[in-house]
Amino acid sequence: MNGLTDDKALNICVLGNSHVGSLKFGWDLIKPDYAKINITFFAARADRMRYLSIEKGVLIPTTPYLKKSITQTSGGFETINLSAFDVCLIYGLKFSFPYKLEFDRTSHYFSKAVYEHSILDTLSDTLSMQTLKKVRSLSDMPVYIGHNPLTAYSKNPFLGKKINYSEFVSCVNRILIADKATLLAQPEETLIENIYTKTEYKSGAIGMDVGDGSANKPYADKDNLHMNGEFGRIYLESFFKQIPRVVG
Amino acid sequence: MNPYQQLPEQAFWKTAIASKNMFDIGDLWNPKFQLLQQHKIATFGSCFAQHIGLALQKRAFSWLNTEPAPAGLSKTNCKVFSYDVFSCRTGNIYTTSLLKQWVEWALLEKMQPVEYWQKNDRFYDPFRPNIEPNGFESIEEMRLSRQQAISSFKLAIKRADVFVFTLGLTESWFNKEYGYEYPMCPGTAAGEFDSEQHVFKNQKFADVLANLSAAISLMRQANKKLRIILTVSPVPLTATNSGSHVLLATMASKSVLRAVAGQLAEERIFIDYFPSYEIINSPPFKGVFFEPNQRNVNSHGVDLIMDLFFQDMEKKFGEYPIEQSQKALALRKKSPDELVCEEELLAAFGKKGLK
Repeated sequence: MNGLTDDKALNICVLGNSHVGSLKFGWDLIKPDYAKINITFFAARADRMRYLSIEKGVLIPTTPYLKKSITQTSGGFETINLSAFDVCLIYGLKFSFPYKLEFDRTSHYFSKAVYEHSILDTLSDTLSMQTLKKVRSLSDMPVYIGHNPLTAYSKNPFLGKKINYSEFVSCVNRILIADKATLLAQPEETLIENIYTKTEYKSGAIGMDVGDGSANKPYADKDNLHMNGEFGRIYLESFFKQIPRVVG
Repeated sequence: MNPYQQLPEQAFWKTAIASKNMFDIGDLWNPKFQLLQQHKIATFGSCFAQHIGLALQKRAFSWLNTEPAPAGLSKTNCKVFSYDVFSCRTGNIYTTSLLKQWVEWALLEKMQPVEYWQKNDRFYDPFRPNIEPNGFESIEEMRLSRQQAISSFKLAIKRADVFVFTLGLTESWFNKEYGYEYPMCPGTAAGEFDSEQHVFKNQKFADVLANLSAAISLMRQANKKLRIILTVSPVPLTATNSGSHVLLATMASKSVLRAVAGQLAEERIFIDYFPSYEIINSPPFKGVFFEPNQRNVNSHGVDLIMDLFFQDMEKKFGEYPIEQSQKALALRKKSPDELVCEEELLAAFGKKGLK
């Protein structure tokens, strides 16, 4: 039996970009509380994970920068051997909530088919989906997808209350059935006005150590996209609850 | 001296046509008004109207789109769902009576028919049967979508500086009981044909003229500055229900449409006629702008039509700014097979459909 049973440790791999930082810092806060969960992070800034290729059943970085980032964030692994993990979380990687589309919907009626195709077309272009395809070509393990954090609430948000976030999540999940993956909704306690992240979760956000010398640098005040460790803690604890554990 | 002795070169076949290469034939159009880059131009009508919208965009004109595709929808799916084809999602408006019907829905808020077509568990809009390739999830969704198109059509009429309408057909299908018109014969693109309910009408000159006049009058009441450019689609009929040979039916239909467009353009200062029909169909052009099926207009024909459109415009009003031309060059070229033509479906329902 693998780690999806109650009596064994659960090995999770997280693949992502800079947004993984908040998860890593969040994990540092709660790791002692989860003795039976191991998380290994594989992350690189921006879209550099696109340089992962498949070779002999593992994911291999094809650039020195990516190799360095992966080695640094994983604690020493130079490649990603998915067979060592029970669950995979693909986080960030250019998958953003489609604000423009959702705002369009508040003024124009689109059929459900049109809406779903817009989401599908948007999603298909993301590094998140490209990474999912790579993972799926190597593994049947449960895969979860986390989109970039919703934008931090600013002083002049608009139309958020008219937008149904859960409808978006349901729509993406219908699309992800084909790849047997599940979109994680951002935890409700982090949300404000349906589609924004409470500003307290961007406060004190810092960059993760990807081995490029910019570790722990705070994000600019005007950065509304990167969240702090507390956000990561809430996200991970919400994520853990969604992983089905089989009684072994 | 007789009157012909004072006429310009273009008045004589020999000098205007016979002594020229077909690509040197010009001065076919004397535009009544100038199209400027900032003018908002709405395009509707038969399949061929799509070329005009595309050409305007390629040349960096302000093509008016009041029902834009949602953010993220790919170009391929925009075509599948008929976004960015006409200025809003009316689908093809082939006849002048259908134009009048849309105008009345939009401006007079005339009651929409309650009819819907169902296939398995999906619902189709009888007035835009091809707008959602797999139909709608519910009747309510179908109605909301049509209502969006009607609202967007109203906006297009009110916002446009110029409304370009391409006349396509005289043959039409109506609901016998309620009198409303279908864009396609029921049972072709969707729905089921019922001879008790569905009646054919091949509209005569007077019908076409009256309907177009009425539609334009309503549009002008809503937008007093609106100017109209009429064109006639050079694309022959896919099929005819008139009893005539399809070639004769095509010529009869196009002749009526051409005559109506010409008459309105002669009578009203704010209406112009652009001769796309003649450019493709006249003897000097030898039919070379048709695809091998002798029906679809190839990209060279479309380019020639639109080049002449802008050349004649520049000849009369002066050249367009250089930056507009440069932007236009960058945007050129889009394949004609990217057009959406519901009428093509008729071929699939005939015994000898086009191959």
